[in-house]
Amino acid sequence: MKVFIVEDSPALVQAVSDLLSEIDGVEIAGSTGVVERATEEIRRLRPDIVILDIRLADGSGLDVLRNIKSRTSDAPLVIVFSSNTEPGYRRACERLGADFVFDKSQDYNKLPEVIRSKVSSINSGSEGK
Amino acid sequence: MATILIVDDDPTGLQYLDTLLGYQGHRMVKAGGANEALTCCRAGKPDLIITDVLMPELDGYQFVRELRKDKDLADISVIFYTATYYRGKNSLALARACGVARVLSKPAEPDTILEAVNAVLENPGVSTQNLSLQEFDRDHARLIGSKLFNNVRKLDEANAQLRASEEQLRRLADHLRSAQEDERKRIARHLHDELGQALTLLKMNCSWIEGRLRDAPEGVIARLRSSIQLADDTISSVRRVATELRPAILDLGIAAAIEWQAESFQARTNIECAADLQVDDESIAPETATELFRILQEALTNVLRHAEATEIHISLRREDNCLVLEIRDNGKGIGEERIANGKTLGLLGMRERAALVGGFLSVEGGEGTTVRVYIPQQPAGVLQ
Repeated sequence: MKVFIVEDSPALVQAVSDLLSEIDGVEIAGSTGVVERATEEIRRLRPDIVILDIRLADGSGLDVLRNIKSRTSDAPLVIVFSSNTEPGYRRACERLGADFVFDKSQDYNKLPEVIRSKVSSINSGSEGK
Repeated sequence: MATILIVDDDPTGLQYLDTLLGYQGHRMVKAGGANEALTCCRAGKPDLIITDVLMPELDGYQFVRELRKDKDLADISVIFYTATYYRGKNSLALARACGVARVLSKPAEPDTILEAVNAVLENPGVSTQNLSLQEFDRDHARLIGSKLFNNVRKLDEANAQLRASEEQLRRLADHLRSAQEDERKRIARHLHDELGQALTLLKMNCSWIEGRLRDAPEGVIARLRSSIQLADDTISSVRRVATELRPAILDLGIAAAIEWQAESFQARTNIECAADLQVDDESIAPETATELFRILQEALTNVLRHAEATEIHISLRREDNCLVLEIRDNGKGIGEERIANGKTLGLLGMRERAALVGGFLSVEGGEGTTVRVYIPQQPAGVLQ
């Protein structure tokens, strides 16, 4: 299963990759911290899961979310992984179709949990998120 | 040595003459105005009077006129010691007509004053022109009228300068305010993104290590857990400080920011705070959003400090071509004197913020307080 990471801090990309490296069947398909490139890469690589930061150096991850969720048929599962998770941001993310909104400093252990359950649901043949 | 009466409503003017002439051995008598001077003269006739002209009760001319009317005092020598602007041709003519011996400009050098005093004391006596009361009043009124005219012109000029410097100050304040806003944004972002992110990584690394130290002694695990807790607490502080500087939610637009502010104010104060937001964010410029948000914060702070309210209603709507932010509470209502008082800094700051984005502010007391900010929005395609 392919995971794409949108994050402008290389150290955090590494930390997230480490968290996921122990899950069998997960491949980090790529990563970027640039808003424009994120949408292009996601469309090209067609990952199953996108881990998405909101505040990026050149813009907002919300724009990436809007772009990738506007195509409903093959949109990936999106986990917003951000430091801005106050209710206003959470609502904005959910309105744009985020499947999960996790706080970077509080919820990082939930990332492997969600991805594990996605892997096992695929392995068991159902397409549930 | 002579007895000299000096008359001036300005104590520093008196002090100067007192010191200078007292040092020459003269007996000095001081009066702060014309009426007091007349009393002094009647108590003991001086050889010479040196008087200011522009004084509150009677001016120098009227004072000399009073002296000349009193047969016991009529022959006292008088020197006018007055500011330069009182020395026009008409002033000098009227002074001569009243029998004033000399007119000295203020401030005068000591030598000039001593020369005049000595000359007048050596040749006492008064030569008055035979000026009727009617003529005196006419010339005096003409003189005062022309001084008044000059003063009004000077006041007009001063007012224009004042307005110009007020405008300059306002522009400076505007500049400082937007520089402060930029600075806050930059620092908040730096704190939240860089410091917050580094601490998050630190915490993630510690948890990663904790996961691989299953067999470590209990003390090591405990120390690691307390480090994680410390990182966590520090992340919370950093985020709180960043949010106090400038909440990141403002990046999502004014509606989201107002909603957030209302929720967090209610949670913090237990004052019920409802928000009714009927405006799309797209059309509102970020500077306008920031100023509206800061006005809201100030208004809420005022409610908390002064209103004793239990409910606040915030609305953001459009009326005609105006964006209107209204903050209404059910507290005791702001008093008229506080609204009128320009020194109420909170209100002044809110007014200036509104003006900064081309709007204005209204405040109403009575049943609770209502603050409204009106920001005119140009309809598309219309240039003003």
